[in-house]
Amino acid sequence: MPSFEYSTPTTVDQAIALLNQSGASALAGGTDLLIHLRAGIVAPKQLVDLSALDLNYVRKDDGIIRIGAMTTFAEILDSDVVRRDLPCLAESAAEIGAVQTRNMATLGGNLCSAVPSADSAPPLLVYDARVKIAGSDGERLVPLEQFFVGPKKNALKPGELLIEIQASVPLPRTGARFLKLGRRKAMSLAVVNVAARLTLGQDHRRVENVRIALGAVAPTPRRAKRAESVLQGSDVSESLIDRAARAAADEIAPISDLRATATFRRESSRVLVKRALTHAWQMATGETKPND
Amino acid sequence: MKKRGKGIACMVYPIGFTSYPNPSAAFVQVNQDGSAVVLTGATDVGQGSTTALAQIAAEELGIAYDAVTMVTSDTQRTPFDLGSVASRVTYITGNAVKRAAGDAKKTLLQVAAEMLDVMSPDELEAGDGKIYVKNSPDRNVSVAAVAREATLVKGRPPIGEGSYNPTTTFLDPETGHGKPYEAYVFATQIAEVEVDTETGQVDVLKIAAAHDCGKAINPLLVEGQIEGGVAMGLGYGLMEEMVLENGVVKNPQFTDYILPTALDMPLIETAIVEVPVSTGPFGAKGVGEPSLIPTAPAIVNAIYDAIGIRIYDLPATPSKILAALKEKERANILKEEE
Repeated sequence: MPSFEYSTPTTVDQAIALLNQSGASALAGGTDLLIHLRAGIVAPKQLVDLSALDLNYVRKDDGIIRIGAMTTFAEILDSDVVRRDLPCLAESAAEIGAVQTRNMATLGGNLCSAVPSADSAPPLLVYDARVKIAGSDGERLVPLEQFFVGPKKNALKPGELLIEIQASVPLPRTGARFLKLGRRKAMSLAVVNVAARLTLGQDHRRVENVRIALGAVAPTPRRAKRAESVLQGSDVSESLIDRAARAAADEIAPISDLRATATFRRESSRVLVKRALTHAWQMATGETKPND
Repeated sequence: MKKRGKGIACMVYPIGFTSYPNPSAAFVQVNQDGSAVVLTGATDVGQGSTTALAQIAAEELGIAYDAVTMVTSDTQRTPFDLGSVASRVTYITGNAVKRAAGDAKKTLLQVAAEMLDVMSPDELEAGDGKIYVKNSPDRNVSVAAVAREATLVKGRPPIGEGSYNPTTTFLDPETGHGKPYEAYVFATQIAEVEVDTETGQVDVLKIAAAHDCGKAINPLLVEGQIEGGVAMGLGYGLMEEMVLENGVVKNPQFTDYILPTALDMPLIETAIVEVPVSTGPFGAKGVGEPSLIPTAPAIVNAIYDAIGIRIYDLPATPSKILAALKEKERANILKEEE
């Protein structure tokens, strides 16, 4: 492993000052970075360890859930707020790596990796999450959708740091579901991952709001907006869910690789979207509880 | 929809090849405190052979197995062993250890015959740390006392050597016929799977594995071998694949060369079947490699039982299963149209 400087700033300002130096790289849980370092894929001159920044937290105030970027997936799984209000995120956290990975890997790190298969991305996309970014010019809030700009490319400018993830507490009559296909039951990169959220009107039928997001089937985790528009404003039904699922399968751009063929990804995306929406529907009408 | 199916696979596996020399050797010394040291070149790669070989020496010497110290796999100190290959260690090295222990026991019995005032060592037996007169076990003397007498009074330290090589019977170079192995083991495994017909995912719910190993020297280790073999067989059947492109391995790391994790393992029910062979140590044959052989065929047979699709090209990945299901669906539609 090449040598590098290592620092542990205690304030976000200090971290940003360090990250502005050339060749600096932020170190969160290290579950990607250390592997890339050892493999010689990256060779930063300076590692800025974010563990002392006090960014491990899940808070809820004024209907906004705030998750510190350094919160680990184990902590997310342990959070009552996440399990109750963002169950779909908890479901995805449970599917990431294995226990050892979840003890180290952070939500901010997973999002910043911007890999197409990032398991935490589809749930946060369906919860309309925003990310708070700090830089030398101050802070800005970016919709998560705009944060993923390409495979392994995020919207951070040099010297910027993702510090917080925000999502609004879902409205009543909301259901959501995360589903993942991997090659095995743990330590598995997603072949396809899907999240869906449905919020129904007071009649328990009309779709007030719907979000569908998929991973590993396009250059970035992405929403399936045409599929969403199939449901938006209509009365939810099995046949409409089928149509939405087909629309989602049509609008993605999967590739064939070592993990699966493009054909398989497209077909299983349809199935997963259908199942996630069906579960979300049952949850929204109170037939199913979160994490069932 | 999820569909369940069961599949069976049987196998026969040879133990102790004879088509070319296949020797192992061992030395044994019984110490003056009744303990023993065994030297053997056999290498324990995690399968527990060192434990099983200690048990074989202990059984032959009639002492407790934790009184046996094993010195293994050190070419400077230990005698020749062909290797931990071909599921041969318990059978071949076990025989060598048993012979070496028997050789040391000869001295012990000769000295004990004088101590117990019997005409011939043949009238004696060893067990429970003692050497006793057959049919009147009250007339006995401890192995420790005999070893002390032998070493310090008679000047004959109870040491032994032993080696084993199944009689080499080269095969006919013209026909390939002959007697290539000395023993054979048999096994049957049954897999129960659940196939998701929409995603092609296969969930192995249970594996039942019945294995003949001759005599289970250590039943818990035999069970462990079977469970480990099933894990390998499950990976072979469903996940493991070396992808080559123009001769270059495309997945030379464990990110994309997929092995099963503990979470992928089903309930495994093992059954040990003991059909002893006269040429094995206490009848033992072997179980290592056989344990993985029936797993993948049992799983693909179960997949066939569940969804009527034959996968001939392992691993049976969801991509392949889903493609085959779609193909079958198309064929059915064409048939209906006819």
